[in-house]
Amino acid sequence: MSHIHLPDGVLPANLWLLSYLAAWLWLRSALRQSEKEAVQRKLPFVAAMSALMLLTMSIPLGPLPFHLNLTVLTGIVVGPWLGFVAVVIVNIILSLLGHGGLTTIGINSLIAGLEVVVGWWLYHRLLHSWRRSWRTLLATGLALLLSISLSLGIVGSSTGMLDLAGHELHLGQDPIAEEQPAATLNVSTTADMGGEQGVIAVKAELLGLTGIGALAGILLAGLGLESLATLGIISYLQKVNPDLLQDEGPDIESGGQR
Amino acid sequence: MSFKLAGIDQLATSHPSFLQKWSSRGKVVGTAVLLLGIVAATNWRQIVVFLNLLVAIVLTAKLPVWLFSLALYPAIFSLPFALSKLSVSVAEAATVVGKATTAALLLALLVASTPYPQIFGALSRVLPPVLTDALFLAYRLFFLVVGSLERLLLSLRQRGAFGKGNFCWSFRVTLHAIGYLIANTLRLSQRLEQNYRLRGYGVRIYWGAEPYVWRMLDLAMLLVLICLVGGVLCFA
Repeated sequence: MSHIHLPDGVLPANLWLLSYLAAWLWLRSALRQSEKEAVQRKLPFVAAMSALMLLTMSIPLGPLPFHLNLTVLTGIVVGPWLGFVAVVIVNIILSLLGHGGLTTIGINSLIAGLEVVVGWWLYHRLLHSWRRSWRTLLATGLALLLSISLSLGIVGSSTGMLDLAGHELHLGQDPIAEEQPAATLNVSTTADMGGEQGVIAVKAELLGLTGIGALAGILLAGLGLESLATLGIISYLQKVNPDLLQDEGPDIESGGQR
Repeated sequence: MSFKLAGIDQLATSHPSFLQKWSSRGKVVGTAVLLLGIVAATNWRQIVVFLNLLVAIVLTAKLPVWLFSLALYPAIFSLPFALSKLSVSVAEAATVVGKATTAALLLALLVASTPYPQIFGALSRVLPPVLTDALFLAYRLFFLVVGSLERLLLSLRQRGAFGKGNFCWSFRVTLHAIGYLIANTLRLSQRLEQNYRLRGYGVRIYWGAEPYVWRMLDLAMLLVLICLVGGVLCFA
């Protein structure tokens, strides 16, 4: 919901190789840290959260181009280190099914892993004394906001669309746009061949919003939905099995119940 | 996707084609060679050659046409990158979408012709053992969770969820259902892992990576692929 599953062949080789290296180092570090937490005993929970993430990522939410991620929830339940392991597992399986790419497992994992770590840190550390509902909403919202920014930054910097965004802010309302259906994606291009490179203007139009407004609207809607969904799930878990939401994660011996 | 995953699993294990007869190690390495070729492609002609090759393989192996639908997601996700290339030329933009789509079709071909324990076995050569175990358990659990979800959805529908006019209630019930699934799946995973231990698996659960000797046929196929990829990249 918060990020694009980057496919193969769209990123420059140095970027995906570098992100592979970074993800590998993070993974090794996560596994080393997790040794202290008896990683072998917590493995079933990592696999379970991976399976659940796979499931929710495969169900679109009605007509919206979103799906739940459950990355922040995974961080809250299994912790930041094992949460990243779960994210890597999900990205490996998804990449084999056309949801992401094999060469982009690294960068996709880094982005989703950021959600896990930031979400866990906000929920269990920084906002620990806050009410649970506010804590959940803020932790999820801020973690997703950060990963959205990173996603957009990567897409923007590798395509030059960051310039485009600035260019788009100066564009006025297009009169033709009013004739379009309310929720369509209207993409137009203009080439300014005066410079060395053409400048492309992309106008995404959704419910009367254009350009950056529409893009921000789509992403914020996704962010809001994921935050609300995480809040709903955590409220339920708090009622039926509050031990799952403890900082040290679910108790192994009792299958998640103390 | 869950149904596609089940369909792919079925194809990989029981579809009779020449791809299933090729060794998993050879297929994985061959896929890697082709993937590198696709990623390194610089113009649409090279992509068209790779795409035609894959389409020909899908058709001659008599794999179902819905396999192509797996390439749709990457096509959508590559659009922002393709749009940025439109200023250069339409061909450049088409190359970007073509690369993402062809790579996805290649991977779909791999998973539709190789049972997942064999893929995980090949991956276990490069991944940490703990990660391979978790991959194996996650894949197994995914199908168990899908089964739980289907039963849960049926019982919720019988109680009037997801009807028109009760959106808020349905949303709340759906979230509670996910919460129930999480609690249930964690218990399920625990039992699954204990079952494996009872069967004698110790620290490592997954032992799919058996010693493998390269056959002449595998090497020949690999050589052909390398020559093909090199030829396409140099001359197309």
